[in-house]
Amino acid sequence: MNNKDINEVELRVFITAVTEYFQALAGEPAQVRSAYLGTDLSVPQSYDYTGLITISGNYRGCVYFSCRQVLLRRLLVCMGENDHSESNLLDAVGEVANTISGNARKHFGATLEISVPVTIHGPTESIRAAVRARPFVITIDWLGQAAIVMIDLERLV
Amino acid sequence: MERTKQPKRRRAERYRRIIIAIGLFIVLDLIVLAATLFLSHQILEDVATVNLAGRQRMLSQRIAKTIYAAEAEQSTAQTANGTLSELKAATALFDSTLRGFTVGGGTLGVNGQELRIKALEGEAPRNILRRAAILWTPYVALIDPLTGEITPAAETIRKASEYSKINSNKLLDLMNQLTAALEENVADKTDILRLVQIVGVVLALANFAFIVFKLIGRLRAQDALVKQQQRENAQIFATIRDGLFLLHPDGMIGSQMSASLPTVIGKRVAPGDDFLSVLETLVPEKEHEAAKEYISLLFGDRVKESLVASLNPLSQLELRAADGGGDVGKEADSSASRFVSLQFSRVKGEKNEMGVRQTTHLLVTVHDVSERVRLIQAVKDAEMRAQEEIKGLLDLLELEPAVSRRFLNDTEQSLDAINDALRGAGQTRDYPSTISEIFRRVHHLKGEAAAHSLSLFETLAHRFENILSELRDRPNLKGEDLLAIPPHLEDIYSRTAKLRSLAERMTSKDAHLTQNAASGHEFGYMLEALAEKVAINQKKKVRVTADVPDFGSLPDSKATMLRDIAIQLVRNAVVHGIEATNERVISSKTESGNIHVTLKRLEADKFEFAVRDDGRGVIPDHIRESLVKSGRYSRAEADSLDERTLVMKLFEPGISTSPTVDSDAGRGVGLDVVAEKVKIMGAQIRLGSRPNIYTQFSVTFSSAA
Amino acid sequence: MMRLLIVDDSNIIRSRIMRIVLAGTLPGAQIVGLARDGAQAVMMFKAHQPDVVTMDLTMPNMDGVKCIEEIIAINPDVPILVVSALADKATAISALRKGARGFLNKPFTEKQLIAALKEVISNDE
Repeated sequence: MNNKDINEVELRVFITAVTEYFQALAGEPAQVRSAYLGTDLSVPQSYDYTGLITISGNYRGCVYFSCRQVLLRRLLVCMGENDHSESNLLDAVGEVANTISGNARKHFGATLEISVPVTIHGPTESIRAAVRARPFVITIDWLGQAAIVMIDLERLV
Repeated sequence: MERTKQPKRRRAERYRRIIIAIGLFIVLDLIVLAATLFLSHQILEDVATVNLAGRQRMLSQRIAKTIYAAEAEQSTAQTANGTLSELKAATALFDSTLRGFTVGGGTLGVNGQELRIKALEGEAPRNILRRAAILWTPYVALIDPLTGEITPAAETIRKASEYSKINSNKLLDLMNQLTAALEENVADKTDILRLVQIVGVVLALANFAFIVFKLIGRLRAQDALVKQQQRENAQIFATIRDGLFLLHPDGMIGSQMSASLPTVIGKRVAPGDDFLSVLETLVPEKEHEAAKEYISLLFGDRVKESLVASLNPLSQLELRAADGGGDVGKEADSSASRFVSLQFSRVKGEKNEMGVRQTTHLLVTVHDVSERVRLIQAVKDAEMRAQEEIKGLLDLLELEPAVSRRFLNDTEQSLDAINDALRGAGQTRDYPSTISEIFRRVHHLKGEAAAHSLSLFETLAHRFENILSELRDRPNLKGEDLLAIPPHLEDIYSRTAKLRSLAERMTSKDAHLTQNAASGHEFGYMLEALAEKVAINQKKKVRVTADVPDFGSLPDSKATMLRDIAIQLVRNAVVHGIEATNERVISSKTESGNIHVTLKRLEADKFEFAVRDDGRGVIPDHIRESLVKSGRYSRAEADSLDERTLVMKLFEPGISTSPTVDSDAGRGVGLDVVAEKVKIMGAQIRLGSRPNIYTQFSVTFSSAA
Repeated sequence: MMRLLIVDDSNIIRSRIMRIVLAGTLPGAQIVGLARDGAQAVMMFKAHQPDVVTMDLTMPNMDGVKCIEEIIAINPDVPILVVSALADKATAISALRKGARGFLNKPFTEKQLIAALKEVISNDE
């Protein structure tokens, strides 16, 4: 495996961050369902909320978290938030993306520079892999709701 | 050496004062002792003088008494000689003693022994003596006649008695005074003696106190220093990141060791533990033995340290993960193995009687060099990867371009299928069957790679298989376990893509070169080189002669295709046609097989291209075997085919007559490619062969588009 | 009494912190401001002089580290609790060096937040 490439350990860093996020907020961890390489059709159209973090520094690319609205609603309920307005739903999806990227710095260090989250509501067609021909896609499941984490990242040094 | 001198000098400096003080103490004591001896001697003499003075008192009385006695005897007319002789002795004794006191001289001692006395000094005694002399001189003159030979006259005795009556008591008084004066003198001297002794003792005590004070101060300072050193040592040992300890000759870890030692070696250790026993649990038997030998070498002193250091077998030691519970320190990174470097320095003791400083301990430092080793390994891996890629590319280039393209396409399709299986696993959640499916596909990929002699892909697939079989054996497979797969998948994907682009660039350059060279010579040379390479792989000997003068005149499209055909036919000739050297020798052929490539112009735009070898020829039964082996024909069907049909089967995909699979043959692709090109060219291919004599493929084509 | 300023660009995190703080385990707790970025936080800090601040780091306009610097310049004694997803040590150290008192990683539980807040306040005494 290319030393400069993202390896299993590094994928796990992100995934652990996701599962722990749900564990901490709702007492129920998310489960990994599968992991594969993404193509253009990787993100199901029905996953209409996406939080996107741009990565710079020693790494380049993005980390996405996409899911359906119902998952976000349940998340807000778990957080004790009763206001399920559009802005709060977007906030929630952005916060997941932000947290998993931020937590990943425990492993990658401060050279993994992360942006503030960009949140998208709507079809994910516009989301294209930025740096990898085939980004890593991990599908997770939380309380029966599916979500995906896409890691489109390459190491520069 | 310089270093040891310095403290010695400083130590002498430090003790000088104490040494001086002790010297002073001894001198003082000696002075006091001498003074005491001297004074006591004087006192002793003075006491004797006092006794003599006391005797003078007694004598003065005795003289008077004997005079009165003589007088009384006179009156009773019975003069006794005894009385007078007693008077004579007393008078003589008194006189000699008095003279001795006055001017020095001999007398008789209290016990009757001869005694020399010194004249008395001091104003008071001499004054007394003077007054005594005034009384004594007439007294002695009166007594003298009494002590002569003749019996003294009564008148003489009476005169003496009268004088005595008047002066005897005065004389006694003077002698009393003298005794008192002398006693006072003794008392004075005794006082002086006491004073000297007191002063001496006080001085000695003061000196002693000084010494004790100084010594205690020094000891306390030293204690403080030792304590500080101990504290500093403890701090160093507590904070240093490396493992650090002294090793005793008996193999015991010294009382002080750095707190990080257990962390560095990944095992609990305590001072007093046996180092080699600790090591035994951490390294394989062989290394443990080496360590044992090496440590005894270090304690041995026979070999120079610089040489021993260069022999250190423990400078890069891979540690076994400590067995359960024993591990300490960082969060367990169980997957990564740990490397430590052990360095030993001899610690020398004092010089022994031979003047040699022997090794008493070893200072052992243990560094964690895992990171360094990992970096080196990473560099090696990168190099290996680059080499793998080059090798992969070369392997691929050796294949006919159409074959390699097909292989790469197939590979990508397999990878896509694997990825689809992974994607699907999210829905089915039947992870064991997903893994099985992926395993089957990877295994197929590995087989294909092996068939095409593409060792890079074979290795990649093999590694992938290892991961998968580990997953397959895992009970209770979870979605999370699949995370191991995409990175491997991606690795093969990206390598496939990379090789594809590299190979395409290389072959297009090659094709370009061949076309532009437009010369039969270049074409012939290329075929010769190819044949030679394949022959080396096959461990055969081959000579190629190419007679292709018109190759340069062919249009590009035809030339390219003819080139692909030629490559395949020449390869085929070397692999299948030409026999192994020993086989050729048995058949009375030249050791080198001969391949003759010709391009003949038959008509203006009609050519015949032929590849002929003098090998074993096409043997119909071999083809039948292959057909059966390929599984497409039953034995009976194969047997029923006539020779012409059999030969045509050679041009079908998946048929190979090579008994083994290697990079040049056995994969069942090759002639099918030729057949395909021939078809595209609108050409015809013929096969002529006689067993053990020759095989010739002839392609006739038109140069017109 | 504990007057709290919450700084986070996420609305749901702000309201979550607020809910936890006001739930009663911190007697006398009171929210004096909710800021969505550093610039707003500095403004609110000046206006309300809170007793304690929770501070996100990754924010638009002015990031958390810069914001800590500015707040500490106004009042060097105010306890600031960083609440951030950035989990690397270097970030924590630089925030603490700028004057923050505590560091809490996101995601956090209710208990963790309360404990972290209590700790930065007790530091004050």
